[in-house]
Amino acid sequence: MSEVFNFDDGNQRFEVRLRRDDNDGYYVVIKDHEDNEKEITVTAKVLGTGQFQFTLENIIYKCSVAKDGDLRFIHLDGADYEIRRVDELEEEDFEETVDEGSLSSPMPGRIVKLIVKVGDVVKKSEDLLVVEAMKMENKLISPFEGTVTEIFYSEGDQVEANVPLMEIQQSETSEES
Amino acid sequence: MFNRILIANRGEIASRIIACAQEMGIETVAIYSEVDEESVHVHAADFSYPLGNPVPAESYLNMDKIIKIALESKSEAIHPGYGFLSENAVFARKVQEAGLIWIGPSPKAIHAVGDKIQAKKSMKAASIPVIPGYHGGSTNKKFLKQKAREIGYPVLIKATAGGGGRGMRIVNSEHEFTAAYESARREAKNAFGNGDVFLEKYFTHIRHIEFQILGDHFGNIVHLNERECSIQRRHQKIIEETPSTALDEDLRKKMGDVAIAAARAVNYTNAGSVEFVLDEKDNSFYFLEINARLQVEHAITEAVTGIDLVRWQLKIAAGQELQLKQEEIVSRGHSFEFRIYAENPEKQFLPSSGKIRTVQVPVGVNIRNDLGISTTGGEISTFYDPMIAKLIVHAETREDAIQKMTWALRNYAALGIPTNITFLREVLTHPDFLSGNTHTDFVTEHYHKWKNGKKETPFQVLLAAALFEVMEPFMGSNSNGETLTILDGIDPHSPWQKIGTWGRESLDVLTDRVSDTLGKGKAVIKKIIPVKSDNIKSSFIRDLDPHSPWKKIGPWEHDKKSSRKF
Repeated sequence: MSEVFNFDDGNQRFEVRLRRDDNDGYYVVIKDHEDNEKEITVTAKVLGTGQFQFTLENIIYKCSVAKDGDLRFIHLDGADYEIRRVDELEEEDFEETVDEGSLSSPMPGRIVKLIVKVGDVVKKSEDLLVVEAMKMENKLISPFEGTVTEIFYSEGDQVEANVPLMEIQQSETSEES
Repeated sequence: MFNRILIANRGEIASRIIACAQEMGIETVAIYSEVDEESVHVHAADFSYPLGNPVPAESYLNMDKIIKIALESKSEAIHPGYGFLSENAVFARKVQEAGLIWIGPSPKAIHAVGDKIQAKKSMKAASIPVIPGYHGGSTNKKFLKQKAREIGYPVLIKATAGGGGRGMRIVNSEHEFTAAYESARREAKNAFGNGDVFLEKYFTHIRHIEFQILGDHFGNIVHLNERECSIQRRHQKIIEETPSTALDEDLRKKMGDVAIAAARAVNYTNAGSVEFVLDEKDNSFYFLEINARLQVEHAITEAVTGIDLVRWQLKIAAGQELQLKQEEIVSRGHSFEFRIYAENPEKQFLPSSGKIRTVQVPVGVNIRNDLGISTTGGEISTFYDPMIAKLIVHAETREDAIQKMTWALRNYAALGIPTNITFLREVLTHPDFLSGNTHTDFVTEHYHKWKNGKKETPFQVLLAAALFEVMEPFMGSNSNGETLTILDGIDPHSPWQKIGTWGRESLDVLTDRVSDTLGKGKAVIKKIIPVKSDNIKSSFIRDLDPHSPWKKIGPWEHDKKSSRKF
């Protein structure tokens, strides 16, 4: 019996299968999108908090891993990687998640100035509001032309990173440009 | 010398000062806000006092509260570190009026250099070259716009009370002026409580060079050579080195002499830095400002000169005479500092916050780690500067130092939130960096819209991620600082063997449990030994992570009285 782990590195999805060996290791089966399979024995040992080493074909790898929800931060062989653990039952439509970053808070902080108000017609790249954190200001800029339909916060409010700050109804003409 | 001092700061610089004071036999008092209760400086100090509310104005900027604690704790002096109240003349004076010693330049000197307009006037009067600009004191928008036109664009709007790039805006053309002016004033008002601004000619492709100075109360002033701080983002330094590749002995002597003259012009004492911009085209240089404090990047000067700047700060403040003679101060080799920040280089270096769960720092000859968090991790809060740590290396030549830094950064792990480490590794490979061709536009020019070059994820990384999932329960992953190590056999000297529920038998049971959840067959990992023996039992149980698989396992159960069956 083996355990299956799915990861997404932002470009593609990987499946890693680990099977316990009767003696002293794991068999690992890895499969990429082209269905190439590989089975190798690997042994591993914990070194400390988030730190362990594993031996693969006589090469010893020391690595550190930290997690934050689904995210996995991995330090291995002089480089850092960020991948996401995904549920195997999850549909393959994960790419559909629209990047709403442009209307979301760019960083955790405080809204120091609302430049637009509900009902305003904004152009693409127009300044919408100013968020301040650690005494640095950052502007939220309109990603397209449209009308401001809702603003979820007021001046002085504290906001988390990546939360939607306002809604803009995209005007039809903006598609052309 | 003092018996006890208070350090009015936090994180790495507070730890740095605490260590130095302790070396000298001085007791140390730390202060901490609510979110810093577990911070490195609190653990390093001999005594610690709470400040409460983490908002800077209520904590590390709260002058009266800090002075009250200093008196209450019977501290004799206050070291302000950098940032916060370090360049606040009002605070320095209040400290002195309370009968305490201020470890830093006199309030008068701080005031003289802190008002940037006044400082430039003093420098001009001492025949020191200053950058063309308008320092007249008017904040009238129309008038300043007119002055900007006279100076010629690009122009820099800077906060009179500013520093660290805050309240600073580059204006490339007249139509950008109004927006930049308002934004700079607002930011300055927020950061420094003073929205006054002035104008300066903005140079591109210049170098930012500063000279470290030390002055005592007997009229002795020396400089400890330069630091090149050209590589910046958001007008804040991220990489510093000494010596600068742009200076030869002649220029170094010339600028060093001017630095001392500048310090003399304001009767400067204690440690400080005289900042210049250097235009390589004709080796002309202009006075920028004096930083009336210990700099973040002081460690590279310590590396090449072998002089402990904090130690001298304490000695000078205690009234000792400077024993260093200018001709005896020699720099040897080359040193770099790379600042590790919690920030996202892919998103204009915006600060990130959250929990750093795993920290691994490189250890080796001439590698120095000044850490703002513990090696078991820590929280980067939004209240304070997002710098995680400083990495400083020293070697005989610049090339050697680059090699050392490359190795050190490859072996650096601070995981859990976005950091600039990958970005710093990349800067180390840039041909212009390697050849020493650095200037203040280096980052914007070479790394505009930088993206982490996502190569194909190596197989080993995916394997590591999968192994982590099965091994996580053995790694103290409840993130409370406990470390659990799994070895092939139980350490015969371990006290844990003797303890009932943690004993050998139950561990075997436990391992079988884990194996069952993972599938048939024996686990590679057979035994568990908690390596941190103090307090682990209680804290581990108390702070059990609700998502931890350990909850399901018998003898580790939170409520020992429960008679749950497995």
